[in-house]
Amino acid sequence: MSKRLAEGGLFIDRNKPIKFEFNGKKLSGFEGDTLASALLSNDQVLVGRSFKYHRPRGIVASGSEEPNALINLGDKEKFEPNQRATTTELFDGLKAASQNHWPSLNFDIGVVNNYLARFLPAGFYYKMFIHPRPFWKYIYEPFIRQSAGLGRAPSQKDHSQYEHFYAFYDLVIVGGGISGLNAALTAAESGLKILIIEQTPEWGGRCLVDFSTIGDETSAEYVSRLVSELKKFQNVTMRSRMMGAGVYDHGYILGYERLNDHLAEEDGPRHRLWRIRAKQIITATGSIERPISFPSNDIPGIMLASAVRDYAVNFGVATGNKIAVYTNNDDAYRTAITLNEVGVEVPIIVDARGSGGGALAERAKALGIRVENGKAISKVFGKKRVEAISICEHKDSGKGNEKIACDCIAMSGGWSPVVHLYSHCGGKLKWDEKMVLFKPDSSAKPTSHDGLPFVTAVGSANGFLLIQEVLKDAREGCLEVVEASGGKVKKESFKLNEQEYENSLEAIWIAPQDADIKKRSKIWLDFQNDVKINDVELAAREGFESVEHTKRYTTLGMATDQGKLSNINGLAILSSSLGKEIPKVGTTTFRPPYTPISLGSIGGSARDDLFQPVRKTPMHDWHENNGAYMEPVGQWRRPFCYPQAEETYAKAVEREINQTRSSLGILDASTLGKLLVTGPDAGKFLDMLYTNMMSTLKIGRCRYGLMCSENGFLIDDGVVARIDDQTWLCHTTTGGADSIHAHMEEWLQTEWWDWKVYVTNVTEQYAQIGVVGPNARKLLEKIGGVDVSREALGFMEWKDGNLGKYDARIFRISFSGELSYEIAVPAKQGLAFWGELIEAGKEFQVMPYGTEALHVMRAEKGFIMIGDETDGTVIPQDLNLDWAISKKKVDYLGKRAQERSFMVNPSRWKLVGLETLDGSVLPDGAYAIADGVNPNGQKTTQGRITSSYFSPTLRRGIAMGLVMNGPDRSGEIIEFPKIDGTVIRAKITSPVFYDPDGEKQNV
Amino acid sequence: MSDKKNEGVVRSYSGYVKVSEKMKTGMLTVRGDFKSSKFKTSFTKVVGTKLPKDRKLILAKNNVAWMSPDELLILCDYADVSSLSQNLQTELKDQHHMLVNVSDARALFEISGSGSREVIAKLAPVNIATLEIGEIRRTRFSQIAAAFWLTSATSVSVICFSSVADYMFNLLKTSSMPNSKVGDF
Amino acid sequence: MLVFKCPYCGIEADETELSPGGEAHLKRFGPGSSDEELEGYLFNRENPKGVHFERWRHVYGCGKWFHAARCTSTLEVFGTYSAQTFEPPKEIIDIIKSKRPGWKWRNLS
Repeated sequence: MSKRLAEGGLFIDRNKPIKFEFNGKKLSGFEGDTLASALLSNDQVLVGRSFKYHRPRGIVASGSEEPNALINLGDKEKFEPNQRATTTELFDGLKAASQNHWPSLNFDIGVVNNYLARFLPAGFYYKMFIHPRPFWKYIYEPFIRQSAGLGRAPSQKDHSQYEHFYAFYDLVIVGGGISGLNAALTAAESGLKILIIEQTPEWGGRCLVDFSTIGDETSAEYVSRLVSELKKFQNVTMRSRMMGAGVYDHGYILGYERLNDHLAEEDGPRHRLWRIRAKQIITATGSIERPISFPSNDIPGIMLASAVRDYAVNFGVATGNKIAVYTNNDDAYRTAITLNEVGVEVPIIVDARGSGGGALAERAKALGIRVENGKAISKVFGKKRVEAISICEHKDSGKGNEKIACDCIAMSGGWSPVVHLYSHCGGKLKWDEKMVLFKPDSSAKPTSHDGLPFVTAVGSANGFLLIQEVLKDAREGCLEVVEASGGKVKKESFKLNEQEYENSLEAIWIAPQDADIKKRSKIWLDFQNDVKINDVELAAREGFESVEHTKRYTTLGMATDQGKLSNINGLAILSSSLGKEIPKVGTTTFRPPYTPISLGSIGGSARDDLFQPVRKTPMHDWHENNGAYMEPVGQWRRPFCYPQAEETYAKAVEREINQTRSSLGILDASTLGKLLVTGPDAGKFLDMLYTNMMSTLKIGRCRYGLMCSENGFLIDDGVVARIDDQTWLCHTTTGGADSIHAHMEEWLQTEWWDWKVYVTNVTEQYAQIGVVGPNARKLLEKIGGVDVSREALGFMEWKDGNLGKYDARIFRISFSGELSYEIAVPAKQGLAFWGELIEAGKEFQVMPYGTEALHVMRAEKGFIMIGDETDGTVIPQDLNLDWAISKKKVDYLGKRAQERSFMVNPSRWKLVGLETLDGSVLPDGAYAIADGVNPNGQKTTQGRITSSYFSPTLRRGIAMGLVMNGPDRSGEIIEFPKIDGTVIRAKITSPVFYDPDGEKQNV
Repeated sequence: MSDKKNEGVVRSYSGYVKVSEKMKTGMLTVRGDFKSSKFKTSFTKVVGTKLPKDRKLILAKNNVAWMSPDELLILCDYADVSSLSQNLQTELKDQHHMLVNVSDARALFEISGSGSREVIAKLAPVNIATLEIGEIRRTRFSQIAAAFWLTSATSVSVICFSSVADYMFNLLKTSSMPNSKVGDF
Repeated sequence: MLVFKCPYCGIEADETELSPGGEAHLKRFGPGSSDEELEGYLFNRENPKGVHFERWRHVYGCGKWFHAARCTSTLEVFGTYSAQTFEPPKEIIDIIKSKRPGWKWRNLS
């Protein structure tokens, strides 16, 4: 059994017990424990089920590489699935539950897949679920959806806070082990601004566990001296519990800081995503131990040798009573020696190498530990827990000749440098044949904006595994980097101390070497996704030669750990199956993040009120306080209508229109774009931008204008007012304010840069209010001030003046067909002016109206709306707007494109009005069908609806649409099928349904 | 509550820094040819200061901020904008230029406290450590355009469009919540 | 996440402060141009792996358009320069020549 040792544990405080729950069971641990160490101390070795076969899974590792110990953490709004027990710090009241089993962890129905394993090879899903086709929708997909995914999705909203933080450093060092600390100390004296981050709560990395002394100090003294020396430097920032998540272009690096995950009660933001720009990055990210591929190597109790050592030294936990060690290198002997020192029996060290180990092996032997060289584990006894092993010759097919009792196996297949961050941004790797590992190729580092390298790996992340070499590389690797980031330090050469002789590792990709197919189909590569040696071999036989294809076909390395343990072993199997060398096959692409980061941290503070900026007009609060139903228009919120009491939106719109047409309505039109254009060349400039002539517009007058893209398509429209000799005020659509401003700047800056024109966006300087209806003039006259009579302010004229106490600019323009004024006042006067209009308008039963009434009234008048009648493929000529296109002008944006054969084709769909024969409302976007079918066998179409409303004025459905040869077909009846299969018949008419002669607006 | 300190303030929030939105500030956009000595002379005659150098802000009676190679922003008393504008108009009438009152189109925020720069660093992709007093930086705050400048080592002014003043206030408020101090400055 | 120095205001701008504007140095063809010229102007674009000239706008900043010469494959930036020009300045061409011998882009090399 696994248990807490009587003493020891560097990280834990035995005076501070902590209570937690696992699958409802009340357990206890100590402060400083991870959830994994606490579970192990309670003999909870079984912690989950694998993804495909639902096999029992135990803790394998002690860090972020853990593939098995994934748990549902917390509950309700704090619930989070797929959290690694090995990186979850224990706190009082922590609640965890295992995943991917039903009904319970111990008894899981899904394990039936395990017995069907023979029928569920790699690519099973691709082969099985393709035929018969109809099965997909009703049988396969629901089944797969049911069984997909490990953890549950949270059911409640996450109430934690998250934030971003932008930071700038000369040098960022990722990894707080002895490589990172030494690199930081080397660089610190240069005065460079340095950040060093460590993903765990503790500094020192593996050093504390692997070495009792460094030089003359104990390793604990050594690490704490480095840390305290670093803390003295003002220019060095140290952050623990912060992971380097990804490295991107031009020195961009993401740091994922977990501020609250280790606390019972949250205090401030839970996670902070550091968005860092670094001139140089050092990855001192260490290395990860590899498993050995031997039969039944997935049974709970089989762990990485380094993890077994970590649990013993850091947490005072023995992962078993009798722990067998299985290795192909010297490092695992440290585990055996450590276990022996803390009083745990090591019945055997199985060393695959015929030549055995070096100095460490001699020490182990001297302690009386049995060491067998050239041997393999041929079989593991036990189902949910290791009970015994049998061993055989490594160079054999695996006939066991001795059974040895043990309840845990500490395995070591060698080490893989953590090259992820180095590789994210293009750093190349090379295969080290002797060390049997991929390591950074120092001649092909990732390059930055200047074409020079900006990421350097040091220490064991750079392929150095012996302590003296690690220390030397950390110092020397750092010197180059300091220089590259503009700093200077003294170049002291590093003196190598003597170190224990280690015999070199021997590559063992399958053990025993000649394992037959039956054994190979029990050798796991990817523990979480259940990928075995025979799956990779099958993929190779079926022609998956690329490592990227094999990964996707077998799902090797596609689990939440992204192949941290499985990749190299899988790769080696693939290359031997293909008969290629490992470097020829290469690795899969390393992509950020290094380990999963929370979606909350990516969103940062952008949630709820801050999810997206909402733009508000000066009258916004009035609208909300007066019951407006708001709709988004770009980032603005505008009143759609103002429903009263129990009124439906449709009824409210009807009321607003009727009251406006019969008496008086007011509209908040502040969101309309207002661009002020001035300069000696402003007229010439606007003549190029608009299809019609703006330079000839007289001061004091307004003109409706159209703007096209160079492609000829209509992009915006609005009323232009001539302010003075050199100044025009261009109104754009609400959505066009920013984009048309940018459009103007683009042409001025990049094409006509010698033209003397300035543009300023003054949209928000003004509150603009439409005063509309037969009583509009009476209302303004009642407020008093500037003369707005028919004679003093004619249709399509504007003037400045005071209305009451307000500084107004009054435009006599109409988008509704009624007598209408649009009045702009400085934004800070907007709300008061609006209030005054409401108050003074009471005698006319003034009705504030929303965007829907606006839309219906303009449609009744046959006015087009950008975004309804246009969709990026419509030219002004399609909308019968030829009258607004100057024939005199030599050039305007889009003119040449409108001459293309496709644009002048007489059969283009053109704007018409449509009246349904039964008075109903056509569905917006409906298509009119014609006789025959197109080459795809679909009904031929001859038009479509662009706007469709119920007109309260005409008491019937009206619509505008684009119809082939439409304007020539007046009176013809065409058919619009609906989704329900019925057909609406509509008559082609003029799009102007209301007051075609404009008598109402001209009073 | 009548707090003298809060006069002229729309709203404020005290987290680990204090955030307040100012009621009314005069703002005048000036565009023209800054290389022209004629323009410079006219400008100085009316405004009383030289033209600011690139990216700089002259802190004087009327603050003058460099916004782009052909655009300045004068910050002054709300009531003074029209007279300032008229005087400049008269002085610049023969030169190609543009004067626009944007007082109502902008919102001004003041942030004070030792963590002021840090609060900005949560929102804007800007290296604030290297920003000097008297330097203006146009950038984005989260998802909106903004400009800011340090008024002292521990205080910052921020301007944005008035339609997003609520969003800006909430951004600054959220970023200055107690217990969210980073400690990187 | 690129960084470009805006040649107008001198700010080292983050990619999130910029907006991209496609290929640089296009010649406008208006009325009177042939169909081929119009097609080339509106639609035909270079798509190099390597040296490229682009337009960017410092939209969350001084608002100015500028040109950038960069390598689309390594993201190395050879320089940024004014938008008020018909071709890249000599200094930038020289830098590219030295760093990418044998490069070609449209009629430049």
